[in-house]
Amino acid sequence: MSSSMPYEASLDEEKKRQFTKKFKLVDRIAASIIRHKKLFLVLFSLLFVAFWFGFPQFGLWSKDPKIVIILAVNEGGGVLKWKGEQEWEIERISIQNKRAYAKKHGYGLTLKDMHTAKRYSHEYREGWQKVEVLRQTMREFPNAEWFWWLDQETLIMEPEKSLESHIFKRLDSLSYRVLDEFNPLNLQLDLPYVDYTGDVDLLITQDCGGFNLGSFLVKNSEWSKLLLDIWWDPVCYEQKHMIWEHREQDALEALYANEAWIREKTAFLPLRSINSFPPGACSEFQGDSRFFYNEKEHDFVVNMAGCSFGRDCWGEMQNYGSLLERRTTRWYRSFF
Amino acid sequence: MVFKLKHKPARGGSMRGWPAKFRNFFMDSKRRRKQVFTLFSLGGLVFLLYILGGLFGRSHTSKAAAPQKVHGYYLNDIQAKMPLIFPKVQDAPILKELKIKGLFILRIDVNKVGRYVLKESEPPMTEKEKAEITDSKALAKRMFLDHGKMVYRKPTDYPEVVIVTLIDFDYYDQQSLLKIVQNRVNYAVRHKYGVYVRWAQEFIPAVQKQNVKDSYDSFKPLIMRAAIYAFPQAKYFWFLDQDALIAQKDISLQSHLLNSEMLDASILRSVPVVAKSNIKTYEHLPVENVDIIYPQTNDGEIDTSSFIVTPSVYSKAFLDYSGDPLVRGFDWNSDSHCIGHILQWHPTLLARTALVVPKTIASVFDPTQSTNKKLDAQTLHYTDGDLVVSFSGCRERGSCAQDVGTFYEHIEGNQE
Repeated sequence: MSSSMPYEASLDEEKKRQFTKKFKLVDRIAASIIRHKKLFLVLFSLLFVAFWFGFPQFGLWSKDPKIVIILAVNEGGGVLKWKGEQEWEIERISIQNKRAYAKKHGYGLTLKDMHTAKRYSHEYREGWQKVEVLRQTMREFPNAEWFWWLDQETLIMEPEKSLESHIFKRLDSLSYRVLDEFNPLNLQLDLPYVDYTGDVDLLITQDCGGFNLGSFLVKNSEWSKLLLDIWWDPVCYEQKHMIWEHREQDALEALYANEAWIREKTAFLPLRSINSFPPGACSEFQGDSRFFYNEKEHDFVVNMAGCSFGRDCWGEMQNYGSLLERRTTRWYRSFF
Repeated sequence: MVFKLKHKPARGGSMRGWPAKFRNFFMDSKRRRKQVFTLFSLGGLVFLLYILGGLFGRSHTSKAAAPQKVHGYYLNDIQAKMPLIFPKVQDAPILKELKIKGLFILRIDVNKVGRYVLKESEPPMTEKEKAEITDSKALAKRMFLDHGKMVYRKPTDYPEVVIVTLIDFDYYDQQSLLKIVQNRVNYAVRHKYGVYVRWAQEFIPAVQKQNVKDSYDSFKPLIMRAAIYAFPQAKYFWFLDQDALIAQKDISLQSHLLNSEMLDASILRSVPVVAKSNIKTYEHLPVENVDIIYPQTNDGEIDTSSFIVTPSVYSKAFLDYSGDPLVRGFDWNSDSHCIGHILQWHPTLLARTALVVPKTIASVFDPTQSTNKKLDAQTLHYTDGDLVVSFSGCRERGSCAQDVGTFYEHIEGNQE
């Protein structure tokens, strides 16, 4: 106090001026808040409610996602056998992976419960669940353009790649529509009346045994809705349920084999573009570069297809999970 | 406060350099105002662009290269000069004599199962070749195999409606076939419609049960698909069974059924799709959504002897699906059973289907009743004035050829 004494008078004046200058604006705002206490309380409450409970369509930034990822989770759902710790963990890792990816690129993500239900237990109705989930999701996201179906045992290994740059922008060079080069089912190559000039509405892959629906893209269109309606019919299923091991996959193959309207909207992507396999799947084709995940070539997605049939899902998930972590970790992460 | 004062940087003296300038720069109220204004307007512009960018979201194109040209069952086409495509009916006796065996190649596979196959890539016969063939049998066979290649691609005066009929040279004699075809051609010429008539036997290689008797019904979606390919710009395709004649040549199908008021009045809404079914036709079915039209018989079954489709994705899906060998492989009681099933199980197709009263395009001739009875709501069978007389049931009676003959005389005699 004593040291400042000599200066006090002049400095005080100066300080006051400084202070008032500095805090004039804040003061004024505070004063106006105090004056209109009730108004501000209402305003704040409204903003608070809108933020926490508001509808997304009222937001200025929020718009419906153009691409929606459908992740099939809870496969089996512990109905026929216990859902163990590892299954929970696989599910958690898988969801985390897709959530981060969807957030990064502004896609929608919806998790669909695929637990075993009695309504699908009849031998004619098994495999129908996927189609029903797709139809339901199309109703849920009427403004989405594309849906990307992913099974639970998948991991997006290159989260940097967007679907636009990886798939849609180079659809011309990437996809193929005639099975002349790779035709594991030996389907007839050419059907009458197939008009390939239109848009593609369904993008699927073929593995060593035929169509694979572990990861596929379907457009939100009239055609797709019609396909989802036609896909399952007891008349076909009754004749074939002993032969069709892969259920909806086989049903789609049968439709593709004989019907021009299905064929003209379907295109195929190379398996490794959205659906690479670990060495355990299609194991009889070991070494075939068309099927298996290749880290060096930056394959987009790995699908541990069929790992629950005598393979170690948890081991595979851990393996690819740690690989993903290694790949996506930035150098600066080592500092903190 | 005391500490603050102590640490306050000294003002003036040698320290007066860039900080002061800097401060002055911001303190100068005029310039500052300008600065702030520019900054905010720039920020506002960026914000606006961001919002606008969000509004016009990028659209994901999904075009991919078309690897093949669209073609029909045959790889080659023959351009028809007229929109009236029908086979040379005079060949019927020769074709009947040749039989299926003589018309197609029989291929026997490893399981010793024989199947008739078609050579899709065979080029059509040229005029020169035609002139060189002297054997009437060989010529008839070549004409039979070439007939499916006919397409109509003239750009002007395109027919809006195409009448499609399958004729069977094994069932009808040449005279009756001529009458059936002539009846359709006369009607089409009068209303500038197209005609697409094919031999039923042409479709034998495309089905599993390779005879006309078992597979006639599964030929219907196939011929409709072929007709859509042959007449790419037509708006409606009307399948009319061979056991039927068009009785009113003056009424056009469009004024009679296809215009929106008439169609709206004819649609059966909220009725069971097939008799006793819990699934009913839609109460609300806008006329512009209708892509498939089937008459429902008086017993509430679907009459598949006369139906109309438009060349939309729904109709194509419906035709492809109802012609799928797997669907046809099911043990159906009848064609009506099959179509009834498809419509009941696939609501997307039902939402595009109009079931209409039979009087419109499938009035059934009842030999026990008079045909000139006055029209009232109770008359369900064919009476004079109806557009179509259908002889369904004539096969059981064994009177098809006779019925065709009688009515043909009556119709043509009336109007010429």
